[in-house]
Amino acid sequence: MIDEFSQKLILDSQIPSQLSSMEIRDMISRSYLSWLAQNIFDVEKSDVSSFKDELRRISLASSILHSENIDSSDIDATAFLIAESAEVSSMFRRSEQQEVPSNTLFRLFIRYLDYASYYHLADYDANANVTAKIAFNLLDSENFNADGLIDVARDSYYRCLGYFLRGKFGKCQDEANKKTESPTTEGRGYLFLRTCLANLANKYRGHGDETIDKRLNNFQLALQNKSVSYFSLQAETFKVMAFYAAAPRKSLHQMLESEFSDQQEYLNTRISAHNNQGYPFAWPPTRSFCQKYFNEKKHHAVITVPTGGGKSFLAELASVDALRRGWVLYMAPTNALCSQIKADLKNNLASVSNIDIEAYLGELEYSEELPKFQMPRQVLVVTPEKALLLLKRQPEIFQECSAAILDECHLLASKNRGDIAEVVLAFCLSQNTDVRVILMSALVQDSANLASWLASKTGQQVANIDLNWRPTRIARLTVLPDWSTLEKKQKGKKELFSIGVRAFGDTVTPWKEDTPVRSWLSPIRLEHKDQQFPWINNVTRHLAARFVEKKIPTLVFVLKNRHHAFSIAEKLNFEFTMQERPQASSKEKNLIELANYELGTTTLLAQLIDEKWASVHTSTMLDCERKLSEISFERGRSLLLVATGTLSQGLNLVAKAVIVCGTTLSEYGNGLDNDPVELRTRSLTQVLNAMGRAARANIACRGTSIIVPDILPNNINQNISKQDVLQIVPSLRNKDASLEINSPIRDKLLSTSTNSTDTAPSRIERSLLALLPIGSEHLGTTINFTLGNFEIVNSEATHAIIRRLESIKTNAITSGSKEWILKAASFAGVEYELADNLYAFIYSCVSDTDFYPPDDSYNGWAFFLFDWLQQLPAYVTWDLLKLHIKAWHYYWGKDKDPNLVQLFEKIGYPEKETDESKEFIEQLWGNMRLTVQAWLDGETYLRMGELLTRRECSSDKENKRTSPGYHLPRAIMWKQGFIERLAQFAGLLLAIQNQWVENEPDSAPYWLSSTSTLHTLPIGLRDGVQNPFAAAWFRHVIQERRAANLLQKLAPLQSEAMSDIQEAWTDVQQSLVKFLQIDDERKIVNALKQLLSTL
Amino acid sequence: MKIEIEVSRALDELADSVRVIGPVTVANHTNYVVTGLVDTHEQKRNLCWCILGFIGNIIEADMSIDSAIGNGKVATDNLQRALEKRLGVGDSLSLRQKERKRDPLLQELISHVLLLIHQRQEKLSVWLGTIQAISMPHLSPNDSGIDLIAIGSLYGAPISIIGEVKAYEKKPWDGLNNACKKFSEIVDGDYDDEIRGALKSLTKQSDISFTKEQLANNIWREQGHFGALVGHDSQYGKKGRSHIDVNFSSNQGEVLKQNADNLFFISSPFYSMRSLFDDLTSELVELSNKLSETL
Repeated sequence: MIDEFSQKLILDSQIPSQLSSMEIRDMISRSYLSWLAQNIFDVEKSDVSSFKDELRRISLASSILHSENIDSSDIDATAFLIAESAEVSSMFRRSEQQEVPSNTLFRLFIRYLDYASYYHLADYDANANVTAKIAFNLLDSENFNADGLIDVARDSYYRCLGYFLRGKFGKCQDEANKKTESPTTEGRGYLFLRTCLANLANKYRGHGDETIDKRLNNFQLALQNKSVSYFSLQAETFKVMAFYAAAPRKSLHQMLESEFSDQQEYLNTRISAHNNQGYPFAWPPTRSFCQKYFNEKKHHAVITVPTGGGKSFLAELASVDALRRGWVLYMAPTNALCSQIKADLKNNLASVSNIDIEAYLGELEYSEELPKFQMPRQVLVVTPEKALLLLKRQPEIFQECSAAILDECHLLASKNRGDIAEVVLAFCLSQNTDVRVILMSALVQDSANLASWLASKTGQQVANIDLNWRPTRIARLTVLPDWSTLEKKQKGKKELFSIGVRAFGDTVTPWKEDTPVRSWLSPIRLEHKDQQFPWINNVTRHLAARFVEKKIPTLVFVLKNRHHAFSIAEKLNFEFTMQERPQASSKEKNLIELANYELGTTTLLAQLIDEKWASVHTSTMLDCERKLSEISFERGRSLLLVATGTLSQGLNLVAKAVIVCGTTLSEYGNGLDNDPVELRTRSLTQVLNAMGRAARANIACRGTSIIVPDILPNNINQNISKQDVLQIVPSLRNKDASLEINSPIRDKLLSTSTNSTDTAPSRIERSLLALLPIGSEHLGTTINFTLGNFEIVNSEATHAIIRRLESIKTNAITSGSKEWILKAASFAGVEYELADNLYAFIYSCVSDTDFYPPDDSYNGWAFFLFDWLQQLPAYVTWDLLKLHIKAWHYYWGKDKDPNLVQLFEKIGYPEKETDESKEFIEQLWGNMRLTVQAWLDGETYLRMGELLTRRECSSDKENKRTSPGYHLPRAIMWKQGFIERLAQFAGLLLAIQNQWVENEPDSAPYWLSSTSTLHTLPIGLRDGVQNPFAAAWFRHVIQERRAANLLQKLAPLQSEAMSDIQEAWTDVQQSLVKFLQIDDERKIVNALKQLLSTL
Repeated sequence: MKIEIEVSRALDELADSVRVIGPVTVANHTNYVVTGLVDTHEQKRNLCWCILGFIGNIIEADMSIDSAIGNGKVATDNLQRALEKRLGVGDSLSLRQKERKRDPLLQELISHVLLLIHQRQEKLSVWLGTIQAISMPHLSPNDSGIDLIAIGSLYGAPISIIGEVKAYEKKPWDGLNNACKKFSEIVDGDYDDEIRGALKSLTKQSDISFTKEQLANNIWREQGHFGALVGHDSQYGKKGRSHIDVNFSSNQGEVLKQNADNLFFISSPFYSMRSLFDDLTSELVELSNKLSETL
């Protein structure tokens, strides 16, 4: 349970000489594991008192040794031990949930503030906040003052203390300013301490009264001489003095004051805490960052701090700094994360004047719209894909980019998307020698390598913040079957086997070979007709039910199969009643209504939340369903959130426990990438990410993550060795920072360097050209700055790569390709030969007398796109076809379809075709056209499922989600796979149109140049809306397709044409006002009105 | 007449007169019965001098005796103000006020006197060892803190001593049980902030013969010694017939939760607690007046 950083603190603590720090570490961990065993698994009730007594005595003994003359520039290690051991001890007490009299409650109140004080001195301020909040909850429920238990002065002091420790300096000072008198010497002492705390709050921003420091010293001396036992007062005085000593180390305001002297408003609102918000206390990573990045003036930063360590805040500080010099590119891996970052920054940077926060969202497809850049100083939050498009289309603006931030920078290791992020960063570096690069991740192992890359390419120093500090402790557990508990019984005529499940936990996180492991037999028993017990989902469900029954908010991450998330939630079985369950809010009800409208049937999610206390969060859900899940979980209406691994990335949810269901991603993925190394890496990333989500800072001091291994292990009993457990679940020993980052394009670049300039371009070279900015002024410099090139080292090779790629371009042009076609291909991120093909196809249409220009509608253009795609060589469209087949393939019952992918691969498709395959291909294209038409016409997902399967859905299966074969998951996955790929082709069509009109307007066919719908086709197609106006509703108001269509129908936008969705914002706002006034009693309209009225 | 001389003399005399039966180790705790504190008028007067010593801050934190209260009329006035403030002397106290405020404070002061006596002649050695440092009594009856915290030395090692003082006229064993409730809370950690402060403070006293490392080791090893000091009527049972039995072992719930090896019951039977405390109050006033009369 104890992580590496806290182990080091225990090692540095002053402890009784009869104990070693390792013994203490193990006692704390063992106690916490015992608490888990008792309170979650209901076992081992007997030895409660020995654990809590042991820890309390360690805490007391260490506090005697706790030096009052500690070096205040460093973390107070003993304070951590005092707080941690006492707090773990108190967990046993908290879980007893006895009715306690008021005077005991008051003692508890002081006790938690006591722990909070020591956590504060150890720089675990989030833990101080949690324990002080527990104290304040007691304060709220009782009036100690009225009961005569405490005099007013003492009561007021403790309130001040609590506010101070929670970083609510404004409230601390308000309390200190209350007119309070005390008739006793002791009471007057407390009032003086209250003044000291208020003064300390001022000192945090450099305004303290020095005379109070002196008076505090004198007061302490006087107390020591006093012949009365004011021990509590003495103890509090010692603490307040220690707080004073720690302030120079902890005060973030003081650290930033000179650097941000022109950002007083920001300092006041975000840092000073006088408004009771923000971050007055510098956590260790923050301190390290401020020291290196601001004080030592390092130019870049590589931040590898565990989840919850405050990386986002460091990015915020870097943004505030960089906004003074230009705009900030802030990249995050998913649109959902980008939206959250935008919302957070908008809120947190509200005090910084003349800036804007803009999100530029989307996927890989080319789109015409660009960020608005309404302010020259802004943070642009984007996915790497959109950043790549931006740099290709508007490279010049990157000269004004002052900082490029990449959140979750382990993305660089991904073969799928790492190359894009790498190119964007390299381009930023190449465009502006002053640009600062901030790379952040919890998972990167070799941060020094990334730092070397930045340093060597820019000649600037890099702040390497690789502090393995986490604000909470997380116990890492696993569960295995215990075969010594195998039982067989007769149930009627049948045999029934059952087996117990054993939990294992190490004293340290991550697990080590030589530390004591603790195990206990849980009450979970699996039953089955034979000994092949259904394992992973079954045991996950049992574990999840245990946490729900204990009212602990728990995340369950399902790695293997996203449909299992629904299946786990649906089959949850527990006995649980809670008196004060929150009612569904109107927002939750409206989201359910919206989901039902989009799906065309009732959403299963509502039922799961209602009956099983379980939310679900997977990619096979609608946005509104995911939102519903998040809200219900945050509000405590559901106690379980069953999610796929993608949720583990970045999104911050209130949880105290995590169950990781399996450690390997599905090998099928999206059906296209099956690289086993890549899969292993992604699996590991997701497991580590998931485990880091247990115990969010400011919610709990510690949490639990349980890894359920993928397969049912055999021959295991209580005597299993630790080495064997580690062999079954190797990720138990992985550090958070385990991922090695190697450039995903290094090998591609290397292979390019060896090819001679006049040979035909290879597939790799064509894909590199599709990826890189191809303008002559950018291609070489971008390559030069890549991580891949840094790893290659050889400058001769670099020149050879650049020469080779330039020559491919030149050769393409000399052999007839147009430069603007190459550009269009690069914008669309596709190989230029495909763009050539499309151009030639359009040209052939023009000269074909039988050709009818496409209808200028989304459907018209989609059909034109199909006409082009259908005549392409089979190998080009095979991936697209496979994605459609996956959704098309009905594999149940007697009338199941043949497995076309297997069949085609067997005949050697796409290189070879047979009559049978041709017939199927024809059918598939027909089905594709039909379903895409329905998609754009606004059919429900249920109907889409029926069109894909060509089978009507029976009413009892309409809302099923537990298997990819059901209609709803099938349709949603089709959208995510097939439609998104198709949108990329639509992007190419649009890019060609744009470039053609721009470069050779006279030769562009009229029907192509005069279109009013093609400009938004890629977005409209991806979003599944009927027309550009609905696309604008989708972008600005409601991210659900049928709702967007409905809004356009009921309150049409006033514009005659819609070429720029970004620009439509004002028009949409005006129409929204009209919509809100519409008199329409339909449930969906009412739900939309309520959902949108707060926009 | 100088108060510090009187206090010092009274302590010496009380040390001679106090008789302790015990320690008697029974199943669930160890018993002591203390007599000879108030059995004669002289003993009562001596006890009152000692109590005045605490009330008048004559007894310092290191248990030395040094007057800072003045002499003659000044001393009388100062002491009487302190008596009014602490014990409500001069006011006519209701029975409830006596029970809730005056009597517990007097009992706590008596218990501290007992420790001062032990410092002179070790009479409660199994419980206290050799006293090294001791907390001063609370002078505010509303204080919810621990009544007595001390550090003793036993077999060469320091040991923490926690005392809870109860004044229970009729049911001394209930007093033990109630004291044990508090001991449970202490063991649960509810008073750790106070104990931390106390132990740190006591280890700073000048003439201690142990290091804080030794004390830390000892605290890690064991919880310390818990003593319930219960004052009660010598005939407390039904119709006043029962006497305290030094061989009796309490089986009450809270008692059973404690570690029997570390739990001590120190009984102080008085002929009648209620009238004793009234007598003591009068005596305290008289003695304080005496200080100015004799000048």
